[in-house]
Amino acid sequence: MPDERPPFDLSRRVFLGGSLLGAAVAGAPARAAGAAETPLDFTLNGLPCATAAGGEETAVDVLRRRLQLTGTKEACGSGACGACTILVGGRPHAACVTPATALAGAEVRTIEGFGGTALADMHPVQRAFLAEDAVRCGACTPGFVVSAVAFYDRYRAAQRKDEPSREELGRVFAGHLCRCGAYDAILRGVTAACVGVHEARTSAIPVRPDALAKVSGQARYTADILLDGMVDAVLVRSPYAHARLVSLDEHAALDVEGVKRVLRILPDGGRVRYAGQEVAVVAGIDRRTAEAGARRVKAQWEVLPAATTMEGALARAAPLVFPARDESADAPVAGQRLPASWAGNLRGPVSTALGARPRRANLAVEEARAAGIVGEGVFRTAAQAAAPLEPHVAVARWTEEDKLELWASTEAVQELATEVATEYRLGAGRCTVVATYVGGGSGTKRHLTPEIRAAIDLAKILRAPVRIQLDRAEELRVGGARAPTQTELALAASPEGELQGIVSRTYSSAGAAVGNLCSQAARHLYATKAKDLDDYDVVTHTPPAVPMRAPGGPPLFFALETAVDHAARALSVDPLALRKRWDPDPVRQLLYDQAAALPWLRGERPPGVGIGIAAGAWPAEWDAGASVEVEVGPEGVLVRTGAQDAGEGTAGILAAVVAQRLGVTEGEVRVELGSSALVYGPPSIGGRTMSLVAAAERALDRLLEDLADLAAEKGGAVEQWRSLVAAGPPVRAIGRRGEKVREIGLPRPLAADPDVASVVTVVKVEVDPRLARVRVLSGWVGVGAGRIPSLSVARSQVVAAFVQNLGLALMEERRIDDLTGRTLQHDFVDYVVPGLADAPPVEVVFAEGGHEGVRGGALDVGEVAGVAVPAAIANAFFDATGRRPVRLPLTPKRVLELLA
Amino acid sequence: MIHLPRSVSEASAVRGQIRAGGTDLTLLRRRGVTGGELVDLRDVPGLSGIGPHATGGLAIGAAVTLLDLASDARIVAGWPALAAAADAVGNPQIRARATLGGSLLQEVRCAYLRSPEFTCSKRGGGKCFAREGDAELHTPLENGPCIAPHPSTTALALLVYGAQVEVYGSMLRDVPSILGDGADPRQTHALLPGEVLTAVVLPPAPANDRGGYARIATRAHAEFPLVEAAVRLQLDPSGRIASFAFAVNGIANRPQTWPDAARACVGLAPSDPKVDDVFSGLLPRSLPIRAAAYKANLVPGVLRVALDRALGKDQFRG
Repeated sequence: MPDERPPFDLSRRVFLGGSLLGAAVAGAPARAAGAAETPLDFTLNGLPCATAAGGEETAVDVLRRRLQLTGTKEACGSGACGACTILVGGRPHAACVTPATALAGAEVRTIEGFGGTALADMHPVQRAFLAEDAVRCGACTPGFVVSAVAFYDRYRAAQRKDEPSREELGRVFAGHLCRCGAYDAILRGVTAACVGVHEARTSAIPVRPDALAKVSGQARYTADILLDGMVDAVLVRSPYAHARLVSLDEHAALDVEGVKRVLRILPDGGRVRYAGQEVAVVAGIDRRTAEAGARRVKAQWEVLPAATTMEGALARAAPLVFPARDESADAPVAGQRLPASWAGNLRGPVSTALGARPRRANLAVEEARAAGIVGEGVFRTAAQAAAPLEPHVAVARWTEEDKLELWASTEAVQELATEVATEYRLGAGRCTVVATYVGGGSGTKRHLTPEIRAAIDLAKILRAPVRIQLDRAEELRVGGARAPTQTELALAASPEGELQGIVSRTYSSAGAAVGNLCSQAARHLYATKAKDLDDYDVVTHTPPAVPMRAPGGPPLFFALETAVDHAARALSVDPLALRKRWDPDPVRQLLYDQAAALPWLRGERPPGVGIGIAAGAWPAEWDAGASVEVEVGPEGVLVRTGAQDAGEGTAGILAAVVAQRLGVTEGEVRVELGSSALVYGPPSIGGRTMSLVAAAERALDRLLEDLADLAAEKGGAVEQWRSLVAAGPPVRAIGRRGEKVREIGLPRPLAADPDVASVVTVVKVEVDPRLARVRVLSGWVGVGAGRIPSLSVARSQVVAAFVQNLGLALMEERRIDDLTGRTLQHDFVDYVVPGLADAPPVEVVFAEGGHEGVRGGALDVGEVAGVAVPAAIANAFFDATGRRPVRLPLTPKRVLELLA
Repeated sequence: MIHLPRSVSEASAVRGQIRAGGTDLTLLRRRGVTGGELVDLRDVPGLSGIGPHATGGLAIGAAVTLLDLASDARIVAGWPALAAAADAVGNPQIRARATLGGSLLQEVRCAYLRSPEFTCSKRGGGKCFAREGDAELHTPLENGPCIAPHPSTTALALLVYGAQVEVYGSMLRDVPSILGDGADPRQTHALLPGEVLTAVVLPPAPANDRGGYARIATRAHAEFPLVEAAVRLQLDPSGRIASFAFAVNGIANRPQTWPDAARACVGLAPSDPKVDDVFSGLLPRSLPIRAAAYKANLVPGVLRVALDRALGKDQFRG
């Protein structure tokens, strides 16, 4: 990206002689009225630092804004996530809730103080994190490293000889969240560092370049982009779930010193469909000024009756979310939009695919009710906020009248560039989207969302770069959630124990959005059986849900696999054996056998401890256009694609594929991602970045051919390609995945679709009736997703999916006030997600065969890996207590109700 | 406007919002939930020590952090329920900043109060939105219009020890008197403008005093509890309860104690199911806030765990 301000280089950062004082204070924007500044002197990373701060400023404001040290991340603003952790007097502090005044005279250490970007300069903790692959999206990493260093120092000072226990580290890191769920690897990293594995600076570690930047705090995410003259803006949102805007008065906002502009988003007379919908945007010299302005924008509303719950939306004479057909046509999509009819706020059904024999399935359930086994129930799951650690954020700058640079935390760099170019009518090459690092998203950062649009519009008007970053409350409100569901499912088995049919009807409330395809997920499991699968949307006046990681999968398999577990009990058959009987898929057959061999399935279990099993399947999504450019030259190996890495490990997977073919280590492969200026790369949606594997293989085929030609020409062998390109120009080749081609004649039964990945999950839980608490003690996940290009990336993807779905099963539940439709959680104190102490050790196994017919041979594991976790936990709960959960999450209240 | 007074009397004179650790106030002010003059105690000396008090007990400065409190060897040995309670608050980074004073006088965690869009009775509005909305995390009992649980875990432990507080501008007072009775929703605590909490005074700890703390929450750590309990007891030579005190939070807008019920357990072995019967009978059958009524069923369990921990079983550190 041209003339982006370079990150501060610590070696050039001279705090002595007040040179930074001059630079920092002169560069700092003026404060909003009434916020007097006082001088602030402290020691920063061993050097004196003199700056100033206002009374309301926090340590993170001082570090990130005034001193431009962006390694300290700001992710929750409430001291709950730990991304902003710094050491004050050697103790970990949450910089976002530490008043700046508290730094006075203190010894402060930030991530920038722990070593450079080179491996040899790094702290043993950083090297350990790299060695154990404890780094995924990286947004939490600097904070974890800082706390880990403090723990490491205490541990080493005490000359401890023991290994820190999982329990101890659970307490030490209670103030940290990793939304990617890399807790197992973090634990291994901290332990390895403490026991001295990484003391030698020369220790060889296979590191990915992106991990190096993340672990040192040098990785610059969208929120870390600093541009000259940059303006911050804040969105004004509707407080009402359903209302018409009568008028908007921005005068009071414009009176705030430092407010630059108020821009209308919703016109007078415009209707809002949910509380939190964007109404206007206020730009100011900094975020606080813009916030002060936003609070003073006065809107007059005609408040309309709202339907904020599923029951309310289905009631007689319920207010309609989409009263007119043309409005509903533009409804956001929370899954996949297939044609369906509307009746009030109910849309559907979207029915099962042809050939699933729905009549047969219903008949089977009828018959089984009379003489057989029926596993049936109404299963409910709550809305789960994606809540990526890096919230939605965009920075826009127009460099010419029709030339736009956009930095955005997006999971779809190329799609976004196309959307922006189309909407703003920009010609080819006139819009560049950059997302070098993306701090998670789980599918919620895909499109041209309102904050991006507002940043672009304001940047044009103000002729200045504009940044808009959602705060945690906004992120929880409108950032995107998995829709809550209600599934009526019945599974019929004959008295002889044969599976006769499955009937599933799901009602999903994606708020002011449509596209529920929950029940359809059942197509892929017990594939040959008769099924009737219907999906309905119940639209409500609540924020639109989004297709979050394996949309519909975890709720559906919770219902289906609970029913299977019930049938197994009723038939007195081992639940694993029953699945083996019912499920013909050869890959899952292999996984069932491996699960059956688990030692912890055998033997007596103490009271309150139970084991549960569940299976799942998830179809791969491919992107034919996915392209990769591989270059070898005097500088080494460079891989480039416009795809992004939102924590799924795109960089690591590409490095592994290329390293293997070229006979180099992964650390020698530089991977450049996250720019629309590069060759087309797919979005991190539906596991589509796995399309890059085949693209890379094709690029490598061509590259190796070219190198062979070169070898023939110059004399030498392809294997010695280094010497071939040592002097000359680099050799490069581009590969594209291309359209899906099925190889026929492979010996697989009809039931097995090579494009569908498999999972079998086993968990052990402990239910404590006194504390009404469920604890997952251990997990085992067997995945069949074809070949695994990078074992370490795949393993961490599986563990991540496990942890996120443990959250869905046990704790995550977005709460909305029924009367007003307003979201009642504002931060990670209210909206709880799993922490290190909640995550069990998870064993991961891959069955690599069975998908040879797929181009590239490698399916995504990130989506499929988690879909059976809630069901496995619920089944384990039954095993432990004899009570059957039908509603998730299993909060203490629900545990109590179940045990009553 | 921020004030950095250099003495308690200067701090008292400003009559603004007092900031000690600032871990919660920072966020409330940023969100626009609260405001006004800010009085930062950073430069006020004498608030962050732990030492003997003239009464023979232990004085803990109001600005002592929860991290220091929880790891103080005297408190761990003599007032273990307080150490365990302090250790369960927030997370390590929060405990490194959060102070005992702030922990006692902090704002409630009610989601409605913390949304600038709701003007509830606590902020001078006419009603409690939780009562007609989502009260699942609120209290089954009502002792005033506000049904938000009391947010202070440390207050709970101080109650079982009968601790007192030093307040600038008044006499040594007991803890309930600064918490208030909860009848006035606008009153988060009962300190008057200009009154500054300076220290907590623990009465002398008898030898062999046992204490325990437990909470019920969804996560293993770092979450505001649904209910929590602190217990303190002494055993006679035969292992029966000689003296007993317990308190429960999360069920009313102020922490609850039951001195009579505690006395009824004297003479019983701690493991006697009759103790559990006492715990089960603490709350009335009919509870006014139905959405939170389930919490009544959490009370016997959390008390039992706290009691077991006091006896050295099922140890827990927050």
